[in-house]
Amino acid sequence: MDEERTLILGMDLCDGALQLAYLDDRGEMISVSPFTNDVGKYRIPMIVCTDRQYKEWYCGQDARNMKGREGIVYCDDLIERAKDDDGEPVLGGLTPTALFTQFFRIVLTSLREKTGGRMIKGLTVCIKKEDEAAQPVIRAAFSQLGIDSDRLLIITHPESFVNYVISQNKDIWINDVGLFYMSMDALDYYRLTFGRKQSPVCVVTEKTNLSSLVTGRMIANGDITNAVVGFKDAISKVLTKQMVSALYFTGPGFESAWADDILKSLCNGRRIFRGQNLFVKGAGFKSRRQFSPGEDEEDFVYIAPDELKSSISLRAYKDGGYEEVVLADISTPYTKAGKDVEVIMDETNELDLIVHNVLKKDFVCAIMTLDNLEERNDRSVKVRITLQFVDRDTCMITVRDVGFGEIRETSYRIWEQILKI
Amino acid sequence: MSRVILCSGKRAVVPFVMKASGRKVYTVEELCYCLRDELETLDEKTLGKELVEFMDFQLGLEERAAVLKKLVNEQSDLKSRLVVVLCSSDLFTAPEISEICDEFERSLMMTPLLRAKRIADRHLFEGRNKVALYEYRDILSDERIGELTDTDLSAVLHNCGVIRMRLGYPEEAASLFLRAYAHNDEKETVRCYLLALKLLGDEERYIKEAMRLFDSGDMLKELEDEIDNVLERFEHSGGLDCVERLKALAEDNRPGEFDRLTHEIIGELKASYRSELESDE
Repeated sequence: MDEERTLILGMDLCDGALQLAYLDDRGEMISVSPFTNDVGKYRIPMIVCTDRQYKEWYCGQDARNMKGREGIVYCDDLIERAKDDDGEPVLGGLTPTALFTQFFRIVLTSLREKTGGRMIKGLTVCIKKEDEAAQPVIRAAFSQLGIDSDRLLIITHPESFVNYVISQNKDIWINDVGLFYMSMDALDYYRLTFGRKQSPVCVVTEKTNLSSLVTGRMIANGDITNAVVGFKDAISKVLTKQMVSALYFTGPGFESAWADDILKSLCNGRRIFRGQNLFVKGAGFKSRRQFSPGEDEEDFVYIAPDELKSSISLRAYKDGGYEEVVLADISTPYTKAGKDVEVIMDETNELDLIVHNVLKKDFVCAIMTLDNLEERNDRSVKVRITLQFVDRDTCMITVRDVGFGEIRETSYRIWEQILKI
Repeated sequence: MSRVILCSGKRAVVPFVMKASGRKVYTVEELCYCLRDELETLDEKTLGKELVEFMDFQLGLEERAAVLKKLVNEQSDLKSRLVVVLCSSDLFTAPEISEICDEFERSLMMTPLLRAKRIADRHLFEGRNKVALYEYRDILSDERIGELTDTDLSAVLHNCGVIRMRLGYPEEAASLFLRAYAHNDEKETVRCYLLALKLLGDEERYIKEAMRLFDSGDMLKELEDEIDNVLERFEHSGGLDCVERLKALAEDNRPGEFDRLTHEIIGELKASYRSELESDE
């Protein structure tokens, strides 16, 4: 069965449209639409429609063209419906999950015909971070088509972008790499920084929201002048004195060439790219790395914008020797990072905390002194250390005297320290 | 050497109760602490099946519990079992565990009466006066009393005297101290005996015994100074305030308030005494 599965596929679900990319025989990632041979027209609207007898189903542009016709029932906003799927049917007796399944079935069947009957070996779907709630429905939809977690991966746009970049020539990412993504309602800037001082290389993603300066809606409304001013401000804000070797511009807001003059001005010492299939190709490259890795494929650790780029450890005595006990690990979402540990303070009132930043070679040691900690030499002074993160760079460390059972009562003392990592 | 020791295992929902002290243990570190602290009281029952279940189901230390279970089933020596438990946490280093085990071996070679004395000493140290007194009395009435050395027997008698003093029986305390002195020549025992006589208010006997037992008048003066210091501290602490108030009320001829204050003081003393007795139990 595995021998028949050869197709490495990437899929992007975004802004009401689906895009596909696959790895061709020459090893290149090709954007494709199964419904047309027109180059550049590879966006498939996420729309399904059917006749009232639910016998003929259509999707994509075909479905859009049939909107409003008599006897046709129509459903768009598939992702939004999927996020709100409560099991109630919405069209043709089908739930949003089933509609998604139907949509994918039509698309992938057409793709199979186009690729000469090749079956999917691995598929990576990338979605917007805001659409993560739709993940279970997407998985369920593909599961109905026989594509389960052994062949399916779902990632978000930033991770897809990272995979795209690291699959390019190393000249592209010799320094930091930036991405401007403009949707109708937002402009986000993602910066990739590469921690090359350790192995595997860590790719740290930072996100800056620039929506207050310009969005795609201004372009759609024809307000180009203000859009240009806002965009120049945005560029100034994030690129001034930054070593960025390549910039990418994508999203509905960059479909037209309104900003090309500005982009040309950024070309000094940088590569500039504008296009709409960056994420789907990134998803395709992720598929390749995951499901058909090359022999000398280099490993990377992706660190999302909301994940820790530093680890915090406590130097403690454990299992007969001193160890760095990890309290918060890199690549963990900061909202879920941090844990509680309990330690016994044996003739000391200092905690040695070690911070490793993936972008730096050396670690930083932070000492937290517990002033007025009860002094006892019988190893009955026990404290609980709790870490909580305000954001990915700020950690609140709380230490509480918890007593030692019936041997020593707690003094109810609490110590707090903020650590910038 | 100072250390920050990482705690391991879970916190028990149902504690393990140390047989000798009655202390409840909730974590493996507390367990190791109490085992070390009550070394001389450890026996087959303490290091047996109940401990195995506690470590397995309550502390989540399944592997350690399995090793201990094997030793218990094979009826192996207590020292090996103790090692397994102490190695379950990082509270003690390897050399310290070795020392503890050596000490444990020495305690196993103690006579039953000496072990009983150690257990009683622990109760006294932790303020369980009545329990300690019962233990000491059992020792004194044991037919094997002759096994105890003079030093140990004197210590038992002395401690009994201390407890009786605390419970408000200076006459009996004095007698016990005197008996203790017969088996040792500890200055502390003499001192306690004379303090008991002082509390009895028998000044003549107090002076006579002091002259007999102390080598020089200097030591009596030292004791007197100490008593004076204590009284002075007590007076300044306000402990006699209520007595002064009573005096003032009596002098002012205010019987109603005098009676009311008297009842109040008696009630407080009763409550305090009762709570002390309850903590002994």
